[in-house]
Amino acid sequence: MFTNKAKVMTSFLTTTNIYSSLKNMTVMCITLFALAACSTTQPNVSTMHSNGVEINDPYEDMNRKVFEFNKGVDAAFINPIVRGYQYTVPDTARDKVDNVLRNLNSPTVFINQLLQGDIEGAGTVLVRATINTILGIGGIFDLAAYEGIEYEQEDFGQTLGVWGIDHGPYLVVPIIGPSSARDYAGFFIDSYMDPLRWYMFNTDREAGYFGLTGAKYISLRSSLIDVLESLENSSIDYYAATRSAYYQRRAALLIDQDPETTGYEEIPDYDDFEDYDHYK
Amino acid sequence: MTITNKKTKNMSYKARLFLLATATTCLFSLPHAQAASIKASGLNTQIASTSITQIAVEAHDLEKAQKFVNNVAAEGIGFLSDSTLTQDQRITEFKKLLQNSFDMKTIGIFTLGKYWRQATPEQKKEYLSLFEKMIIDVYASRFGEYSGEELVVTNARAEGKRDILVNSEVQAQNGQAIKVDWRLRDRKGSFKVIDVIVEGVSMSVTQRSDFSSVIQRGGGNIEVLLKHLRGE
Repeated sequence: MFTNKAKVMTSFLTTTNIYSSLKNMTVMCITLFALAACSTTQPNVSTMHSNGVEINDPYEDMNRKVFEFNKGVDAAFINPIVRGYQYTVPDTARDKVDNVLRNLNSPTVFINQLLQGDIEGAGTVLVRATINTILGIGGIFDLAAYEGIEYEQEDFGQTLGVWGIDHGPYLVVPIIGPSSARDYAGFFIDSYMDPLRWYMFNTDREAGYFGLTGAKYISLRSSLIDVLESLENSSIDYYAATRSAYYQRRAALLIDQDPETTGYEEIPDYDDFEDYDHYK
Repeated sequence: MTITNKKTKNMSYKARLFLLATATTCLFSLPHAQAASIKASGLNTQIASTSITQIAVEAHDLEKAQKFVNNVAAEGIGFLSDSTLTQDQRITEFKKLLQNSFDMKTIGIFTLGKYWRQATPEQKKEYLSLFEKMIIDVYASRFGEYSGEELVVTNARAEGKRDILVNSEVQAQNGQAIKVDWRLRDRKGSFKVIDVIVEGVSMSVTQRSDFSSVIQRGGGNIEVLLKHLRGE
């Protein structure tokens, strides 16, 4: 009976390639779970304001543990790799690597600009990708930026934000770092939607895609390493400082860092030391 | 033939899952979208009110503010790039810059957040001096990192009820420019910096989150923060 069942199972496995479907299912489940978590707001759980953005960190104890774990991984593996990369590859070459990676990210940015209804932004991506791929030799030279057409970072987390979905709980993800239910879901959807991933997976270039993801990660960490170091040095509670910076940075990206619309939290006049009541 | 068949089957399955995800996303987003549109309409009135204050801020002031930031940057780069100065001399210059161009009292009080009101006069006094000392220590340890970056002022506008925000870009010799905004407040006829915002991240807000977390986790007692700042 059992062997029979197993036989049926194996034949099922081979015919429909259930393994990859299962993998995709898991990804989708995580995504859906995270999205569901977005919509359930838990009031009175460690909420505070950071530049007008509400921080919701109900899993703080868990997050702090993962944060410490990540710090250990960074110190033992990531930072030595990043420092090694910075030491062996000169500034100018690293800049070119970043350009190529950004250019390869164009499909994702393009899709998200469209989903956000930013037609102008989508046009900018098209122009940038065309100029940089053809004239900038596969994106090595960011000629578009010289012309004042600058790169804008877009991802599905921001798209969800534009659609009115709030962050949901703050999450510190192993290896990846600070995120939120919304942004983490967006991260999965982005890699899922990426046409480059579809292309590489359908042409047996999975290894190449994973290599690319690794390169993106190291490039990102290389751009952040000094910022994070100074944040750690200037803070007493590094976890809280990182969390605040994460929310502020995401809020700035969400409005495309437009200097015309960026509004910061009011800073009261403290001429009279006790005049603090109008600020809660 | 069979291979392509399998693939299309698989694809449609993936596509179905994706559609499901999108539909669910839309469902979840509905109530939020409504809330967002309400928020957005509130935002519009906010923008309208800022544009009124914008008229109140004269173009002349904005120009003056831009000049002020240029001067602050020039002064900073001046002592950072002068290789004849010792670390102690640089610290002296930095203290002068803080005293003349930054409103450290406003920054310090803002950074303590809601706990300022709970502090005793002695604690307030001690906190402000410890806070300034911390800022000097943190930045002094980073003087050596300066490697020829330049600051270019790009824009200025009214910010909030009483401030001017000067936008600038810090350009390294290689690599991406970093957006730095300077929040200035008129203090008895001269501008003072009350916040520095790097790529959308306010230094004051970040420090306030840090301090309030320290106090909160220490049982709501300001003394815990003071202990940390004293280096105990």
